[in-house]
Amino acid sequence: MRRHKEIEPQATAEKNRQPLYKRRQGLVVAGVILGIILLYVLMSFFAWKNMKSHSDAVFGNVNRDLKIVMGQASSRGDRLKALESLNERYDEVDKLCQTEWWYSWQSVIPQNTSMLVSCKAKKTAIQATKPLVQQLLPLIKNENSLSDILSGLNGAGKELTEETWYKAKKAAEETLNKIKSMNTSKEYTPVKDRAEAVVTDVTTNWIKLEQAHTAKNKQEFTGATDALDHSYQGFATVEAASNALLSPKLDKLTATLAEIKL
Amino acid sequence: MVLVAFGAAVFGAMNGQQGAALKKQELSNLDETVVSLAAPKIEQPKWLKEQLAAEEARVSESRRRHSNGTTIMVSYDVTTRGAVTASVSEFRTLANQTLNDGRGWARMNVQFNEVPSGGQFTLVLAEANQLPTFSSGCSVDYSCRAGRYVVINQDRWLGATPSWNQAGGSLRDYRHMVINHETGHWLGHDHSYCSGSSNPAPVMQQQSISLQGCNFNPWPLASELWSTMLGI
Repeated sequence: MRRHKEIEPQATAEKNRQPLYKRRQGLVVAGVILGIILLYVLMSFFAWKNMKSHSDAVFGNVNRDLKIVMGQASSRGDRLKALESLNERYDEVDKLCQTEWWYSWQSVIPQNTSMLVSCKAKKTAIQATKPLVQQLLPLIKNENSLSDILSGLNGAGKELTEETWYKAKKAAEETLNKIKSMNTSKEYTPVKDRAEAVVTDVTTNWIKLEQAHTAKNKQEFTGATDALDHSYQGFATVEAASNALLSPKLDKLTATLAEIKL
Repeated sequence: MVLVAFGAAVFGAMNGQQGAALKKQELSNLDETVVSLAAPKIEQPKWLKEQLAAEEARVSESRRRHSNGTTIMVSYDVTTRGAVTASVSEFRTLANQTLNDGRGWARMNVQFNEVPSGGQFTLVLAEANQLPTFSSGCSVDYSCRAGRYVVINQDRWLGATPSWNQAGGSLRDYRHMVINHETGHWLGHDHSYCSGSSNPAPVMQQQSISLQGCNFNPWPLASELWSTMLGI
């Protein structure tokens, strides 16, 4: 009995020490898990906050571009730059309103839900302009290149004499060559072809005028002068072809841009 | 309503959108360039000024002579070439009447006298296929003037031209016109053109081919009353 009694305190101490260790270990594990949860919650908070602030920043940039594109006081150059800038932002816009998959389930939290709905609505409205802007930009670039080329026709001056009209003929020939070598989008081809036809007509009539002058043929000369007037009036058909191509697209873009509420 | 409109305006301004549609001119300068592209003003070359001055002088001289009452005598003879079936005497009579008509070249104070031969010009009534024998520039389809020969195509003399007939011109007027037109070439005129829709056609216009919007007219216009051949 005594022996048994001697052994008992040692067993109790042993028994008491093991659960304490185990309890500590459990506490550490629980602490770590709690820490991880707290960290996850904290990171979730910042992830959603960052998503919102980044989206707001991008929407702010888009809004700034839109103000310039649609603003009545904007210059043509600034407007075009802003449209190009908008075009460059589409890739960034495509990535907005998203979090990593391990946070995304939190969209069920009411606060996040409303934030996400609002973000996606803005994103969708902006994305809707993408095909129109990407269709229009090359056309406008083609148009401005054609305009620069055609303005070369004015280089010879507005009042010419028999000593100086060769300059106008030369300018017309150079303009024609430049138009022929223009690389335009396929969609812009009808406008380019129209311009080429009119400048060909102008060039031909300058040549006829020069021939009539050399031959001192009054009727031919008068006829060539009248034909030149007529052929220059043909540039209105270039404008008409350009309007037919671009105006409907611009109207559609305006309507789509108006849908964006940032 | 006012509040709604105000709200919409504020919202629009906040978004930087002015409501006006984006115009093509706001992005492209093509329209401005096109407006600036007008044919340059071409000063008449020296030779043209000289030609116009000479024509003006001829017209002035013609008017002066006309007002002085000086009459210039022009002789012509009449002949035929090829198989002519039309009445030559009728041709002679109508040609003389036309040339000396108060509405025609006679207004330059010119009198045309038919002579048996050796006239200043020869008026020919020719079978159509004979026209090219006068000049390679003469067609079997129309009348022609080649050097001193004023050649009237028998087919045209008998039936005018489709365009003339379609325009409602009479055969008699066509005959006046073709005599005056071809004689006009001998007098020194080139072809001229319709000056505007519904105006009387110059007699030197190719009315046999097209009226160009003008009304047919067998007689020379006042502006055509000059002749380099006669120096008036």
